[in-house]
Amino acid sequence: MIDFIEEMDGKEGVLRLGGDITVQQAEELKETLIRGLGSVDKVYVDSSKSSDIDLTCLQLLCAAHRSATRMGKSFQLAEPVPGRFMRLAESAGFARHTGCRLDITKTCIWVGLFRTALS
Amino acid sequence: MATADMHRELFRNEACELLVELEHSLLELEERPEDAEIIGRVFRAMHTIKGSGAMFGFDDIASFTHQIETVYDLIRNGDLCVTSELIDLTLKAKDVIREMLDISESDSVLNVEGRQEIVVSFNKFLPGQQVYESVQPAASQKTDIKKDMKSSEVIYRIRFKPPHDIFLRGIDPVNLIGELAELGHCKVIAQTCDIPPIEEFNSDCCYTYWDILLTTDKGINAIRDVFIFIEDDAELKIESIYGEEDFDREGGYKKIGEILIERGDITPEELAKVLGQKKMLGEMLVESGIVQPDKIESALGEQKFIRELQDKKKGAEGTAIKVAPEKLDILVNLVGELVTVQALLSQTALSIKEPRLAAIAEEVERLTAELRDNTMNIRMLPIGSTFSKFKRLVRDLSKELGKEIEMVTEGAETELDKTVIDKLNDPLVHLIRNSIDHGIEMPDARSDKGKPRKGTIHLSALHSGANVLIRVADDGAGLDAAAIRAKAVQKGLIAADAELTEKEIYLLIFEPGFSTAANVTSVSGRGVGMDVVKKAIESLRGSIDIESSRERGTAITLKLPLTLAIIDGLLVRIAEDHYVFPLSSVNECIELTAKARETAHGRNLANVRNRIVPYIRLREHFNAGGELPEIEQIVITEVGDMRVGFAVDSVIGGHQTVIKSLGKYYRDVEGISGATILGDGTVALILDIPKLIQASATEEITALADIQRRKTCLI
Repeated sequence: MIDFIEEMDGKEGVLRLGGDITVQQAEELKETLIRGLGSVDKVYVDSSKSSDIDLTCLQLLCAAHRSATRMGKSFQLAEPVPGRFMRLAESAGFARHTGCRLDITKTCIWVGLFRTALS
Repeated sequence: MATADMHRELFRNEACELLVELEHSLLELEERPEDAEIIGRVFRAMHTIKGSGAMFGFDDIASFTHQIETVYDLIRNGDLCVTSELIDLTLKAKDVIREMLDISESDSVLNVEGRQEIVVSFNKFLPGQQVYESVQPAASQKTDIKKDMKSSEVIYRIRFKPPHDIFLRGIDPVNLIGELAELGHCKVIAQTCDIPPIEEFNSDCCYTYWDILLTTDKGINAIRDVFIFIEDDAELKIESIYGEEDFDREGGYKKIGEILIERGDITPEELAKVLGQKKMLGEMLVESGIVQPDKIESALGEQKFIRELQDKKKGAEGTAIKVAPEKLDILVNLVGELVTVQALLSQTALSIKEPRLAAIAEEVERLTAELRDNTMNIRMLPIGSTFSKFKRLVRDLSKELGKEIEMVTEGAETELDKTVIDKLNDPLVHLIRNSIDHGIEMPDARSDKGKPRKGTIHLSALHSGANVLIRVADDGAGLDAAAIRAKAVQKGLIAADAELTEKEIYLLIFEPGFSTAANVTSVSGRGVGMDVVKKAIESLRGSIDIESSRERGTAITLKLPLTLAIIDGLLVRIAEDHYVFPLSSVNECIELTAKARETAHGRNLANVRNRIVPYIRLREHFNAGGELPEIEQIVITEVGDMRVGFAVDSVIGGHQTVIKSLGKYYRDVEGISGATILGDGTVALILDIPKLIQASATEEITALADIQRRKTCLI
């Protein structure tokens, strides 16, 4: 289940990920992300209801953050991030101290996610 | 020793240490079966024994341990649970490995059936498809194990760039990385720089690639095997970057620039150009646009990973060296000789009265004392290792007897000379066995008495001056003074009307052949144990004290000297001969004038500050010739609660006594525990105070009995 809900008079939006978010749902997630970033200034991703996640999801979130930075918008993961999400991101090597070159606003979602774990 | 033999010996020593640690971990695991850290420790111990065993040609040990390691691997992965049965079995297996180690040394034949039985029992824990072959060392099995054995771990740097369409091939690259992680310790850094903005994103495409650092002993082929299905289409670079020899590399690990050049992320020219600026290299490289921050992150990760490993390795072996105990014994002997020669030098300097020589002698004396203390210190070991052995003893025996007993230890860090610790094992085993068998009651009996079902044995050690006090206390039934007395009378150890204090009665249990246990059990009751304790403690120049209270328990305290090699002594003279009192038992010295002798009317009693102290005239004891001096000296000693004096001709003073054991012809002479060489080369005997007191008391009792008999005859 992938839902995007606008809040705060269209200024913010929450992308709700529920159930499996794997390669099968990748296209749907991509479309929803594009739609969300096009409609609001601040996007939160709520993954608390997600069950199975794979690398495609991580890549898509990363891509969405890049677009958001380029567009001068905000893209964040909403707390709480479920344990299996953290574990996947960690075992796939996404845990890091600094963001990529495109992360000029220093808002890399992975840096934020692992800030406490890596310090 | 040939190098191969030396390595085998090293393995044997290492394995013995690991087995001690293993036993300790197993006992802890029994208390906390869920503790992953302990499970890991057990697994690692087995893993190391197996690995090093095969490397040094102990194939039977490697093969045997392999089965156990497999079971613990399953436990580690959460596929099996720790049970009491498994702990029992592993403890037995530990004993077997120990036996195999001992046997490999002596070339005896091992009980293969016993081993087989354990292996079969372990196999029962394994899922059906994993039943392993028998322990018979078949040639094929040997090779298998050798193949999987680790010579040493190597760190590999792996760059894995999967084909973009990997998802369409039904492969998840994260699973492949997971498989890599199973080969060893892994650090994974995802390179995300190729991920495009979402608008250009192709959902079926894998944009991520990885830098992975893997520490493994499995070899490069095992790594390649992970990628076998996509190796042709993926970009895969595996290089070994750090082997055993690199740990000694001067100046720590490679600099970040070196790592990036090695990986091909930058060229040396680019590095040289950027180095012209004065910023952190990583920052400069990113700013100059040569390299992506991801790459820097990855290189930094590698640097950190290796540094951590280096630190860990340094921590593990950087601070200690292993020395064979025999070498230390030689050192201690040499220091002993030096102390003797130094005494001669000091004496000569004093008689020659040459100030320059006196100054040198003083300097040598100071240095010798420091050398002596330092050498003695090297031989000091914490008693904890001995204590932990007893946990197993308590566990096994209490199970055998159906009792519930917990052992609590205290003061495990107390240090004692290695020789003393080695000789202390047997007496402590006897004392603890005795507490378990005779002291602590069956759980039901304890509940009836209102005590907790679980009994406690408290084993503690603490320093007290030049001695260490080791106490074995239980909260059991306590000693039955009346029963002990009755038994002693029956055995003829004491007269029926002998007047004894409670403590003296308790001490009778240490007499040879004494046992009040109605039944002889496999644990104790043969009446030999406690006698052994007494003999062993006396041979260590120690003493035994005992306290007991009915229904509340018994505490036996062993008082032992810190060292057996060099002691502080008090040198005295009787006629032409010299004797040494161990200074730790000397309380004070007083004069005994001819006048005082007369007032005592032939009884050997001295008045010390209005307290009567009996004394023994050593001159008489040793049948020394010559005139009795006008003024004698009484050296007052304290043994247990007793103060007894020893009259000598004169007290010379303190003496650093290097203890030499007496030849076998003099071994049975009571009252002398050894000898020492004085500065002028003459020999002084070291007095065994408790024995002298005991001998004198026996003489006295015999004399009294004689008088009694004569009186009876006259009547």
